[in-house]
Amino acid sequence: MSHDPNPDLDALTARLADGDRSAFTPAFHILWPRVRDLCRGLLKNEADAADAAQQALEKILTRCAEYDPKRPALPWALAIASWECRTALRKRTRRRELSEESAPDLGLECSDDDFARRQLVERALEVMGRLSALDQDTLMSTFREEAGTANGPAVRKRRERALARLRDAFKRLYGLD
Amino acid sequence: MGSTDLQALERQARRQYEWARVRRAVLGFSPALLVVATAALNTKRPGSVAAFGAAMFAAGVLLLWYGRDLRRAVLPGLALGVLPLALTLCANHIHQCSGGMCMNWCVPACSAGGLAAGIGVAIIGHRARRSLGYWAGASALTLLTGAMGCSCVGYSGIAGLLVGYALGLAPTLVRSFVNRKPR
Repeated sequence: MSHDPNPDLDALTARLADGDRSAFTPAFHILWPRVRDLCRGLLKNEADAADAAQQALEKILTRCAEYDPKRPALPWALAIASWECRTALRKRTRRRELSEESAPDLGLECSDDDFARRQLVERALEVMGRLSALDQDTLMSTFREEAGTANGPAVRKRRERALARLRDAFKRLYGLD
Repeated sequence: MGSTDLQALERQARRQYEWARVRRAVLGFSPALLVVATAALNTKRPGSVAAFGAAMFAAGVLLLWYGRDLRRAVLPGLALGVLPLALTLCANHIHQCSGGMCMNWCVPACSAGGLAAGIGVAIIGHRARRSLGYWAGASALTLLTGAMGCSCVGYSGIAGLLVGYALGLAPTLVRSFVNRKPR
């Protein structure tokens, strides 16, 4: 049985997806500290974390229309933020021309899916306190959608999910949901 | 991060949010351009079709961008607006001539299509107990879509569309708002 640790954020995000602008400021102020803490935990560098958190928050809020109100909003947002951290880390690695060995090991760079999953869940746990099964599912599925790395049968599944998302996006856009 | 920086970030995020909504609205409503293109290819007045089509597209994007109850007016508005448009495009090819006089079916087609569209918009709005925004949005889209075809005979075609639409819409619209209990 899943719990609902952020009923306000869920409702606010759903309202934002619907086009209710009055939900913007409250949602922003709930999301900001959580996204910032997650980025700090993942990047371990204040300046990079601040940049990544800003970009992540902008991305989350611009993608509100994609939010599925049946799912918890915070894990969805944190998964997007963690992907932004991964991108920031890659940029930093390239910029400094560091080898993978000398870069901080966040697990998110690792090809081992289980390890990456464990790292992400641990960081999300630090921010959220606890994670229900639905939270974890939302976190991981959103992260994987962001990652877009798949093979064989996974590609087919991804295509099916993409079609379902397109259908949902159409319904949400025209208010048919 | 200071409160000033946070405010700047919030403003920036808000701008991005609005732009994302605009992009989605334009992309989501782009299939309506097929209706405009079809109408333009089958009319003798492509200029007026383009003008009404541009207005219709802008109205649809505006409704989808705003969201809430207004976005629910877009599909019914467009679909029902296609009724007078299709009728008029067909009527353009029919002439009844007798004794050296030719009758164009454009105006009757506009009125009949407008009447049917008005009834359709009214039924959907009444059943779903939609707000005034829906009625206004759906009416604007229906009329602009229909006007692409009804402009074939100038203002008289558009007047026919308006009269037909008003006749179809008014009874249910009045009934819907008179019977509505105050919240």
